[in-house]
Amino acid sequence: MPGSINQRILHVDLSSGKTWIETPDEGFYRMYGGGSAMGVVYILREVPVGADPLGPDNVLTMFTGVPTGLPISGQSRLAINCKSPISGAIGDSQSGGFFPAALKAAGFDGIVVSGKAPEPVYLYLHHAQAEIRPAGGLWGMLTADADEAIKQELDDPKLEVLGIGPAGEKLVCMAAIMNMHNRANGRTGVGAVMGSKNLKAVAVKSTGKVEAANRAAITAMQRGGTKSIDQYPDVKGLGLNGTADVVAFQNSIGSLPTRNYGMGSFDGFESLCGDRMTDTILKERDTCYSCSVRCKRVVETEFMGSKVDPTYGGPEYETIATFGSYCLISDLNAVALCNQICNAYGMDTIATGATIAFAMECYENGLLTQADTGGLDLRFGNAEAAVTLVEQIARREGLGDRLAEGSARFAETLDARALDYLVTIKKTELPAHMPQSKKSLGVIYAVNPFGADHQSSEHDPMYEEGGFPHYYERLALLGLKDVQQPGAMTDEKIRFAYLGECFYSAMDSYSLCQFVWGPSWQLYGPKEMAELISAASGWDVTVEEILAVGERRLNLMRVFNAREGFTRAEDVLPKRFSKPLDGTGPSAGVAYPAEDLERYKDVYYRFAGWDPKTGNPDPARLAELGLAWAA
Amino acid sequence: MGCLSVRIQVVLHSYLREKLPAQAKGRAALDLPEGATVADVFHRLGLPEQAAWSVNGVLQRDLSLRLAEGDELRVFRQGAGG
Ligand code: SF4
Repeated sequence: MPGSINQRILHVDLSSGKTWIETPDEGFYRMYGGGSAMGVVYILREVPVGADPLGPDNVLTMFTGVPTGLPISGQSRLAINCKSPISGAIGDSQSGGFFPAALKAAGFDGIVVSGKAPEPVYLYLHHAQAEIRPAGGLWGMLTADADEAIKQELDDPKLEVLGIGPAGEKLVCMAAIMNMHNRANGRTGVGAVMGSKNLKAVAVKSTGKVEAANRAAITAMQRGGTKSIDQYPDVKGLGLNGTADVVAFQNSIGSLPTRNYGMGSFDGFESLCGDRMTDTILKERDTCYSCSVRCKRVVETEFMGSKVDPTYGGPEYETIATFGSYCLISDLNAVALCNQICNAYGMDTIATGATIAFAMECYENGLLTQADTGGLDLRFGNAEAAVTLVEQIARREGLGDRLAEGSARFAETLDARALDYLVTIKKTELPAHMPQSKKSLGVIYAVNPFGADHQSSEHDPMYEEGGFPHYYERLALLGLKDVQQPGAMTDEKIRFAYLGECFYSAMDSYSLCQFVWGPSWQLYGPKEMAELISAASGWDVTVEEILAVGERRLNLMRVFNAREGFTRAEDVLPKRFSKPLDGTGPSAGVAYPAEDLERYKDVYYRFAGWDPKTGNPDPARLAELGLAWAA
Repeated sequence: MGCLSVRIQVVLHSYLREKLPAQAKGRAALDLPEGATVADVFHRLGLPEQAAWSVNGVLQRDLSLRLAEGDELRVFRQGAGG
């Protein structure tokens, strides 16, 4: 067995209760890297065209990557994929924690779940074996309670548990899959798909050890990286103040979505800053398996008489923005409570916060009344109402039952004017980085196969003048040597976005944390990433090979979408982006006109080698990538 | 008496807060000679030129900008990650 892979993939058919283990050859791993790319291979093979995302025909995949489980920062990541119940396109979501490394050490590289169990069940994996166990008693439990109950049932406090909460059970569209009850595979509705299969949880016992082909090289990289964190200011800031460290900068450049994406700066930003969290409600920093950066937050506070329990972690930047600035809420305690409810019930904080912001704008414009809200005063800034609504969504009660379908479907039930306020792409709510101030990111938001995503490419400022030398030295390894003026939007910027997307796509395939590994500001750059994959596997991997792995994943996802009828016509930004932003920040008055995006897409499709008319992959390019089977 | 110095407020974010004593939590009032520029403050506090900064909430780039009495200079990590 070469290096760090098990060459063992678990297949579970919940309808029949059968499990079997596939042992792919090494070439399969080299071709796809693992993670999301590998998951999409199985989805393309097994999900029939037009399948109901919440029916037994959908397939839910959970994959680690080649280096997962090795003792080095930023490798314990899990990709979960399926057909998304929100968009009908490919679904994709990533998380960290300790579960991914434990899954690998239990003897599996990934899990392919098909069918639907007649009754609730959970999976227990250990010693390269799998058991399907009844979960009737766990159904309805919050994520932390189910985690604890499984550990007690199996009499093993060291198990790693991943699972859904009541939101996933009730098929809430924005349901997440949680591990450690504070790490979320949040996006694209993966928790609802798990719920539709009657699968409550997966518990793994770390019964083995992941070995590298060249362990000494991994050890040396980990030592060097840990020692040099202070030399990488962006990484140091993340460690000190969590992902919310970027709040102040985002606000300063007009990229902090405010008032449901109607403005780019928020007067109340200061109380939401990561350093403010450090000074006030932070209890401790947390981490993922073997990671020295320690960017995870654990907070302790209270709001509305409810305790915010440290077991549910603490809010990320995205959560602070969606429940904070999107909703004009500047109370960090309120945001922390919303975060806790999402983690306890298992919901994506981005989609949930953004959907509430959308509902608030509909309410302020008379499209929703107190008769719809059950008496809730849903004006922007009402933190109590936001907390109540998060719980209602999680339990599918009152207005929450309608919002649980996501903002795009909810908008279809309202007056047509609601579309003016809707902020979704491929029915998926937008994350908290604004294309009005990061123009090339806007192109990625539009073309990304699973809807707008902030972790699918490098952001504009990294390829603009004024940065640290290591940004540019590393981007040059991707062939990006023409650093741009601040704010420029050129063909070169789109090339940067595309190559950055391929690189990020590779990280989602090898399953690497994008705060530790990456093409510019991270702790380790492209050269070190090639060294990592080589040392893990024993292969001689280059940066070009990494980019090809990333390109394969993007093409496979677009093939899936094409099969489902998606074309260039779905690669669009929300209607409201054609109007200038309100407010007073640097992006006030700035629009992102649809005709500009169409021009940028022509350039992007050319770089991607996709048909400019349909935006879909070209069979000749698929064949060059070794993907003729998918054409 | 003529005004020989100007007093400004500095707010430092992220890891840049380490440039001030911990109890300051990234905030300080600085007295500067009249005509002092943002570059002077960067030099005095040891701030890297790659940091992003704003004066009175407006993002700026020219470090030779002169500071005036009562100005708020806010300095950020030029941000990525999140
Ligand atoms: S940087 Fe943060 S999210 Fe990434 S592996 Fe480390 S602790 Fe986990």
